[in-house]
Order: sequence, then C-alpha cells, then structure tokens
Amino acid sequence: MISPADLFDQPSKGYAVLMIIFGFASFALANILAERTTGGLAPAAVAGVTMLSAAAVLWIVVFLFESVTNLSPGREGWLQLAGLGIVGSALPGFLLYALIKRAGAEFTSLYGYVMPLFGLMVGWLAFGRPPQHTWLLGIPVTFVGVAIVQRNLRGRRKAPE
Amino acid sequence: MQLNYIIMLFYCGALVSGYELVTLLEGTFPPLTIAASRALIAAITSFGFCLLTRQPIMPAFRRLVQGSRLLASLS
Repeated sequence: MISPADLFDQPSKGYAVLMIIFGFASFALANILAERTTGGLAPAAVAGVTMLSAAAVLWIVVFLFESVTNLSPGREGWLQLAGLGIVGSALPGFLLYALIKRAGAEFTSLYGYVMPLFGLMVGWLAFGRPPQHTWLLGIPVTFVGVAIVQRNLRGRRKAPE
Repeated sequence: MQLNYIIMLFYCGALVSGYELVTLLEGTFPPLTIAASRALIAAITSFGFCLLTRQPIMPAFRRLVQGSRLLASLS
C-alpha cells in the first residue's frame, strides 16, 4: 500500500504511481481510438494487428537494452511464456476489442473498477492471501462507482439525440 | 447487456491470470523480453484464430496503415 506521505519520503513510489496513471491514461486513449477506428473489423484481427505492432516496437527495444542470447529457460519456462502469450495477452486482446465493438469504450472502462475485486478474489482463493479490512471497505465504494457510471451511460442512451 | 458483463469478467480473469504468470516468469526472462514475446505469441494466436474461423485480416492491416499515415501527417 502507498500512502500520501510515502510519495514525499520515497520518490520511487511516486514514480510508480505516475506510471500507473500514465498507463491508465494511454489505455483509455487507445480504447477510444479503437472504438472510432475499428468499426466493421473482426476483433481477433484488430487484436492480432495491434499485438504485432507492439511486438515489432518491443523487439527493437529488447535488442537495444537486453541480451537474449544467453537465456536457458527450460521447457517449463517456454510453456509458461506461451501460456502468458495465449491466456494473458491473446485472449484478453480479443475480448477487449469484442467488448469495445459491442458496448463501446466507455462501458469497457468499467473494467478498471472490476479488476481490483478480481485481484482480491484470486489472491484469496488461489494463493491464500486474505483480504485486509481496508480493502474490504473499498469494495462497496467500487460498486457505488460502477453504479454511478452505469446510470450515466443508461441516461445518455435514453436521452434523445 | 448481460453478455457485455460476462465478456468483461472473462477479460478481467484473463488479465489477472496473465499477471500471475508474469510473476512466475520473473527471473527466467528479462522483463522487456517477456513483454515482446507475449505480444508476438498473442499476434500469432490471434491471426491463427482468424484463419481458422475465416475472418479477414487484411482490412485491419489497411486500417493500421491508414492510421499511421494520419498520425504522420499530423506530426
């Protein structure tokens, strides 16, 4: 947990917060761009093209800053990497663009509210990390946030153009 | 509407399992290599899915080229 006082005492935590904010801002912008520019396209094809573009940029950075020639991950490591690519990137990529196509970028942004709850549940059920009291207090706040956004979305859909 | 929520739950589930897999891979691969590899594997998987289900890929590429040209003209 990062408290406001930590941001002044430990600047590295402040950078971490800035990175999270920048990440969410760029993600939101990407979703709006996707909604406006990918109409009529297959979600899997959009996911494939965006992932390929990301891979092209990232591999250049990898060859500039990291050494990949002396890696020996073993069979388990390669399987975990393949699992990460398929379950952790290809599947969410496809679902993301399918959701944007069906419901729009605004609805998709609700995932930001749902993710912490998912993280808590998976941490608790799969890894035995019991949720702290402060986190449990945050859950109702999250649901209120989702309800407010949903109400706004519904109100806008009903309003005449 | 309900299907939208179901898709979102699956999306969050896939993302969370991705985060857990990343923690497993730390130390085995450098971080940028993990990011680049997962993007490449995801691209291959997505294109494979498109080919299997006979969904067109080229229109998405054309849209990417158009978008890149638009960005280049703006800059």
